[in-house]
Amino acid sequence: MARAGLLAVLVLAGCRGTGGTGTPPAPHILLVSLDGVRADRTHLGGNPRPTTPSLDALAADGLVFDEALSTSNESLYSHAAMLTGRYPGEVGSLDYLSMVVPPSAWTLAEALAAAGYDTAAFTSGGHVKASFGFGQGFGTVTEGQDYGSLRDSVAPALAWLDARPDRARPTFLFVQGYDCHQPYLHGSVFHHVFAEGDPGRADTWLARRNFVESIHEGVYYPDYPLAWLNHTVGERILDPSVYRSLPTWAAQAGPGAGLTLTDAETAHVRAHYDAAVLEADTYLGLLLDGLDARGRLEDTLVVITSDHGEDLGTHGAWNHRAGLWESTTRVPLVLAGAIPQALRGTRPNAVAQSIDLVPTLLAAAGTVAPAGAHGRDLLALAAGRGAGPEVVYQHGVLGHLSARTDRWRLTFDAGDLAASDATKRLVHGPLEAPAWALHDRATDPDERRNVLDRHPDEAARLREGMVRWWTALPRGAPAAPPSDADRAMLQRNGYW
Amino acid sequence: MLLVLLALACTAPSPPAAEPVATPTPAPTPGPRLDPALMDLAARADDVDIVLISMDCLRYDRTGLDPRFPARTPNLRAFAEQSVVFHDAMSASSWTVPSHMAVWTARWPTRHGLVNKLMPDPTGTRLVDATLREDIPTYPQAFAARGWVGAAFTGDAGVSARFGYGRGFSTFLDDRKFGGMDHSGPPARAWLAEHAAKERMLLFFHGYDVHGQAPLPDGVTPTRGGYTGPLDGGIAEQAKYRELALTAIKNPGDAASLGTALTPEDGAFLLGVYDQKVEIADARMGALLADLKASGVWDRSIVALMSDHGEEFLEHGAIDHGYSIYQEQLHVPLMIHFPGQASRVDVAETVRTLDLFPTLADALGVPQIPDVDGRSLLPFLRGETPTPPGPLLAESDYRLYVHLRALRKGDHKLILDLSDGGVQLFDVRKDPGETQDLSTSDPRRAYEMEQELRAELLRWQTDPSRFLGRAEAPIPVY
Repeated sequence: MARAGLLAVLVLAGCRGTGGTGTPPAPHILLVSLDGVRADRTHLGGNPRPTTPSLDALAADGLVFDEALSTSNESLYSHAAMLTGRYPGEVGSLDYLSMVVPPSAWTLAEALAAAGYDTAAFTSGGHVKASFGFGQGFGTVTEGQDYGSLRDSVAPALAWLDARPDRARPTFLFVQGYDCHQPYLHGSVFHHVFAEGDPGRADTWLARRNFVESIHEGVYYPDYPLAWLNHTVGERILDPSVYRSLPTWAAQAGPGAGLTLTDAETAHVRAHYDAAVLEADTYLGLLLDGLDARGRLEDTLVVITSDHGEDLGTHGAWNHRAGLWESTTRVPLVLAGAIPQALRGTRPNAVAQSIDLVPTLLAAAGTVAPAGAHGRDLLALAAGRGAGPEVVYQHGVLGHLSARTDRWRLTFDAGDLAASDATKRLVHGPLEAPAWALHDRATDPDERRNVLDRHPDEAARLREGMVRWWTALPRGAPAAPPSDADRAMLQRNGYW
Repeated sequence: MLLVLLALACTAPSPPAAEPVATPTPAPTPGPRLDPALMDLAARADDVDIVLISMDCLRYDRTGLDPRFPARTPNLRAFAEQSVVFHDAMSASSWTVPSHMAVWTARWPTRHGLVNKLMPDPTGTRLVDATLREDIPTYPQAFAARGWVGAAFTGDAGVSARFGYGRGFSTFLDDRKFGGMDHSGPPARAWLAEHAAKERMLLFFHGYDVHGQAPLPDGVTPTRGGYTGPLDGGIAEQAKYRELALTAIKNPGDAASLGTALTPEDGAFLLGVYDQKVEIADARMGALLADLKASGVWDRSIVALMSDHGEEFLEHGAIDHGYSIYQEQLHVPLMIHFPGQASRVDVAETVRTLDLFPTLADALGVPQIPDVDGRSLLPFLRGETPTPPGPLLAESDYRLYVHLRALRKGDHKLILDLSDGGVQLFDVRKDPGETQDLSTSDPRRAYEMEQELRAELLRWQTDPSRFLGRAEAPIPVY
């Protein structure tokens, strides 16, 4: 029997109740992915601006992981990891243009549906759509306008909760919005909320879709051509190579091609990113208020996080794909609502990852994580059971791999991880720039200085771990059909 | 004279009600199942012979060990009277090559790697004649290293020495493809007569007597009863329908099926022929058993009897075996007689055939091969552990054309088709025929069992997809 058929049936059919004898009833689950929210731009994460009043309020009575890392630095890869508990390179293809969450992969929603949950997803399109495999396991999938706002998901999500026919079943609600994606809020009521001083040319630039994709080393190249490609599922996606070719293009185009951002303009753009965070947080607040008004908040395990950050010029780029850094992968993570009393209002000193959400939520639902899922049950971790990872491994969309400890970050730039020699270069290539970079976050929290030369032993040790991690990941490359020689041999052996 | 009587008995029109083995008691009995002293043989291992009898393709429910069917199998039942009888033994696969090798190596088929006659070479680019990897030891080798003299008398095909079965044996008969115990029996008995008093033996005795590719003896005609259909019960016809069923597999997830090519009456007729073969096989096995008893070997030896797989007769739409892993193809007889054992011990719990050699090694103080999946059954038989070893798995990559995995857990069995990820869930206690797929009505159990099964496959660190899509047509059998 085909998997797709089975799941359709089990999503539609009434599933048996959850929670056997002696186990607490399975909580409702709400998972909100505020796309592209960098942790330190939330007020909770240290931004002096009041960007996240709703998240802050939730966190006051919730469980906060101040050191939470997304598994990748782009929406498709990172959500694939968040919703399967596996690294993007083992979920789908190593080639971005054919990366989907395949039907063979077990997703969080599929597992929860099997455990009896009523499931629904309300996303803002973009990469988080059924066409990329994210609809698996959801009885209802609503994809709003591509790269739209969380705003459009709040009312339909609450309406879905109200309209469910079988109210005894626990619910899994996944809500995602692209509020913090560029262009930042042009035309939104939040547009100028945090603006200070003279915006210079920045207000005009902010309206352009290619603006933050076309900044290199603080210079904006308005004529830089962005290529759009067809993903194998038929969606148009931005050619990821544009992030790599911008420096070369800029050098060839000459000084006249670029517009250097003034400090005021840079500040203005950052203010608008902050305002985008406030927008996301505001609609999050409406959603949470809606749950509260229905008396559901305490019965719902609420998880608020993001799929990646945004460089905001920390490394010369502005977007999130150009590298694996704290700026692009450190995200907010708050668990609240139906969490153990002892964990309320706590901020454990533990590292959390996006891939921890699958084991965490499935443990809360009283079922098992899919085979091969990584990660840890964060509620157990916060309660002092088990240990966090010594090394966080990440897989970037442009072919970066990263090994991050409490102090160090080693990054390997493979260029193309799907290339036949990528693993060979990872394992045997010289441990030197520019392919490799080591950052000492203790002395260089923004990870700007490559200290590979000064700490070769540290780098070599982290590389060993990275090699072990990467080479052990199961990757189901489809087997080749028999060769002509095989066919001839089959004939020779013949049927007796 | 004996042959004449045998032939007459086999052609008798209606089976008389033979006395079956009594119903096994499913309730777990506290304490030892069998006197532990009978299983503690390490101190006198020098005096203990090992005899392993494999009756290829023998379904448990047609042996007479199952009280629900009174097969005329006096020798199997006599064997049972002085043995530990495992009434729910699962083979590791549903056809000969992977299943016997799972016993030989105490590893699951994917883990021993001999899942077909032709296999991808180490580069994965071409198919070559398969043999067991040199670095995977077999238990016959382990016994040979401890001084047992190995002799094997087989029906070739799936247990041919060239696959690696020959390792550890100084004598290995495999000169007739799909040979029965009528062929392997006389040399086995002659070898036994010559060596019984001289050497410590590891005797492997095997035959395809009940297999679809083994014909009825000359002069024995199929019992037709009221059957008026076109089938003759012969081996050419069997091969034809076996291949025909495979043509129904057109897309990943498809099952072998004969559609309407055979009727239920045809299936009943073929099952009747099979039962005839079982009776004949019982008599042939009984000849060796008589020799073992007459020579005193029975009393001083561990004598085990098993089968490697069962056989389908249209229960799930086809005939033959290998292409599915439903119970009619996995539920096999397994009996172990310990030296001096005088009474029958019935075990209702589900056990695995790949635990057989680790059990014998444990009893005889032979060190276990490292990194095997099989475990000794002795702690369970001694009452030290409440359940037999697990997990209960099954696999078939039959002719690199189907890719099935199963997990049994309590009353439930999950079948996973790796080619499309489809699952089926059965309650084999309530529904032993596996007719009611519960995967949609009990999705949580299906999900959790699938993850447990997949986690086991992942632990093996062999990519289950490595055989997928390998063959565009079923590769040859032998």
